[in-house]
Amino acid sequence: MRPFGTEPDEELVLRAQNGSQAHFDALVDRYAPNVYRLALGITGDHLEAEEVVQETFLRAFKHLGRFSASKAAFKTWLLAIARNQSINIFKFLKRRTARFVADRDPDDHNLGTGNIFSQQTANPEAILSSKQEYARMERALAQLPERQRTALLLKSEEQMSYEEIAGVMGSSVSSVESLIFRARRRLLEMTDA
Amino acid sequence: MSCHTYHTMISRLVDGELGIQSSEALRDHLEACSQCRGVYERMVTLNERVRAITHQSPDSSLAAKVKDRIAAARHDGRVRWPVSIWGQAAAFAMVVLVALGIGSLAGRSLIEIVLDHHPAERGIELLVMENDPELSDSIMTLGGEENSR
Repeated sequence: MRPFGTEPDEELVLRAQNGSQAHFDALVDRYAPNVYRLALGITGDHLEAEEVVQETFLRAFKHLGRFSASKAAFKTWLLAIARNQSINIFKFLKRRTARFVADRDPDDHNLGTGNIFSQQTANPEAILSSKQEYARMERALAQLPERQRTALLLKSEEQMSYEEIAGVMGSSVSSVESLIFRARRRLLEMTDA
Repeated sequence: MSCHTYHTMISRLVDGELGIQSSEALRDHLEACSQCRGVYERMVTLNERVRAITHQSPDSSLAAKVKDRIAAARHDGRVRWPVSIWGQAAAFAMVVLVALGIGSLAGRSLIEIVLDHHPAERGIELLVMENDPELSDSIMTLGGEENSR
């Protein structure tokens, strides 16, 4: 069992602020996957996403003394740092390669049992079709403007409320609502889901 | 209300961000409008697909890499242990209050406590030390017997 698994974030942060490395490590264990998924969603690159995770926690550690739980949730604060880091790297990658989607063969996708596209028959045609569908959706997601993609990712993946997303993105709740709606409308147009 | 307005409401319903009254109104509309019902179903499917794509786990060693990097940065002195500025502010306020308390007990101001001298005495000392001997002689003379006349 993971240590500190049930302790609330506020407690972990407070103990970390008072000098407990173990409590900061617990925050790393708890949120590294969330930061990684957001970074991957923005940069589209696994290695860069890992770099973002490391840089994000380093910055969080550096500035933990300034964090106040009364102003924002730790997760919101952390993902806001991660988003800024990801955007910087995304811009750099965009300049360097002018590409977002990695040139992967659709056949390379390792579709696990939990993937909705793999919950079909073992029919080779169906598998090929689901992989193509996966690749099409991935490309469509990558073509969304960064703000729309980030808002949708935070909603779909992190299950954050519009208010929390607004906190991460530094925008209003109505703006988040609009970004998510436009993202969905555009994805539906591109993929005809 | 137009179908387009209902579409924005559908997005909020999928996200669980629509109020009870609006949800009921939307559900009534969905029963009557096959086009909006289709949009609702497509948005639900889309949401599942987006989640399937974005739900990726990092390498199991990532958390360890993060901890190693922070440890290295601390070792190099690039980062220090984060002390809460709120804690620092409270500690500073405490020091000031204690100093004021002690000062008022001793009948001295905070500046006096910090300088550890009476300002008037300090001023005379500086005057005497920083000026030429003639001036200090004059001061001594002013305070002497001749001046009493």
